[in-house]
Amino acid sequence: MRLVDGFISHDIDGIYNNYGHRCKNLQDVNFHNYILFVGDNLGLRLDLPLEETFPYMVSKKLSIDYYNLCVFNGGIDIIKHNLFLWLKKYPAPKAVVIASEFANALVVSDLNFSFIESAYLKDPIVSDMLEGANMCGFFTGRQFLFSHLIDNCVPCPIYQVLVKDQIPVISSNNLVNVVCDNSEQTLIAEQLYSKIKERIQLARRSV
Amino acid sequence: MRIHNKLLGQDANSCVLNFCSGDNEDMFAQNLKSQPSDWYYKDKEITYSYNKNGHRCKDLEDINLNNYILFAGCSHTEGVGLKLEHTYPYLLSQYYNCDYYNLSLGGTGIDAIEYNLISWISLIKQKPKFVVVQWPDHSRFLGSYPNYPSLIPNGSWMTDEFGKKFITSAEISGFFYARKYLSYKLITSLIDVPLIEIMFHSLSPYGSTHVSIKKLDLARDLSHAGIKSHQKITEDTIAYIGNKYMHERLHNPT
Repeated sequence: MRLVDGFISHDIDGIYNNYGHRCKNLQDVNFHNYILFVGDNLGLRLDLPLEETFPYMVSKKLSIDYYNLCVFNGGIDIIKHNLFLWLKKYPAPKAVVIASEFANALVVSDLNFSFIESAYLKDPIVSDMLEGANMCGFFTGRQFLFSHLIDNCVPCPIYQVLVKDQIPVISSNNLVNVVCDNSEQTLIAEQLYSKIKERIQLARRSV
Repeated sequence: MRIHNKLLGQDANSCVLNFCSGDNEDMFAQNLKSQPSDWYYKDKEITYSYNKNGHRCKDLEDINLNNYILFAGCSHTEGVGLKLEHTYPYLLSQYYNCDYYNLSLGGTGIDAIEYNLISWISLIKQKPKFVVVQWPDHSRFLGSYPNYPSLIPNGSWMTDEFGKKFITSAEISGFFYARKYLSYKLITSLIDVPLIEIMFHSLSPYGSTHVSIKKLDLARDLSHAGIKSHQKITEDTIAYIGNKYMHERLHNPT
């Protein structure tokens, strides 16, 4: 991981844009009509070609642009950092889609912040940390605060993609959950598309 | 701690108390026995007046939002153990002849500060003259527990096995450094008015420059910084702001 223009992103690799995110370059995004994806592996699917990932498929189906701020093994701290920094710097998207596989992921650094990376799960210290965080209320407290921040401070509709039986990043009544039995991309894309479309139609009817 | 009107505050709101969790009655009774007969706090009353949001300051609607300073921090900035008039947020706002709002919450860490500052920026359109953030120990966090509506401040004082395990391993693994780094970067990016940072010199640093808190005396609880210390923080902050702006004017004469 690295910091580019304030955003946490991936190290340089051919599959990422010049900011280290898996989508087109920032300057090519239509900021008047786009969806923002935040999350981790679920919203990236590095094992698939870009065209077979649900962010690509949904945006194509909706004829709307998108930017993908997802970071591999990121977790809540990176989602929060990237999302609120984005909302400060750029025009609000038409919708925010949160797609996270590991709500309880943790990142680590050193005293001088000379690096930032995912905690290595096989490290016994990290195992202790995960167990402690789970039992002492840290994870639930972090989720509580982030959920309220999302509710209060995101100025557009919010969707959360959840794979069945996984811990949600956000627990809120103010967002639309898209629950899938598995992480099959076409299925997620179809469900997300219909939920977004439904909401747009409702909004149009109310106008 | 709980959410009142979208901001995180003390459980107690719209109330006036004679003691608070960090400066409680039992401790005061004990201190009365151990302190000399002319102890300053022997016959002084301290009131903790919490507004509708559970913060130790005026209600939001009574603040002049066109001329105010915003404070965020932990018990030191909340002013635990001190009369409101002796706290550095009060003294600074008097010096700058403006109002203030104090988001500080005793026992909390960077997660509470981050939550309240992001929420404030989103909810309150009028910007403060400047923001003062007093950074607490980076290992503090708010815990949430099943069937319990409030968030509980946790930190190095935790005695339960899992709490200690988490704090120790999060320190060794570098999680607290990463969390601090991300929150610090985010907060400093979102605040677009001057940001004044204050902290105890002994704590692991956040940014590159800050005003150091010097504990010259003790408050009523014999733990927090006292009257002289808050006076000193006020003076040092005024000098820091003066130098900062003098420096900026010298380098950006426009």
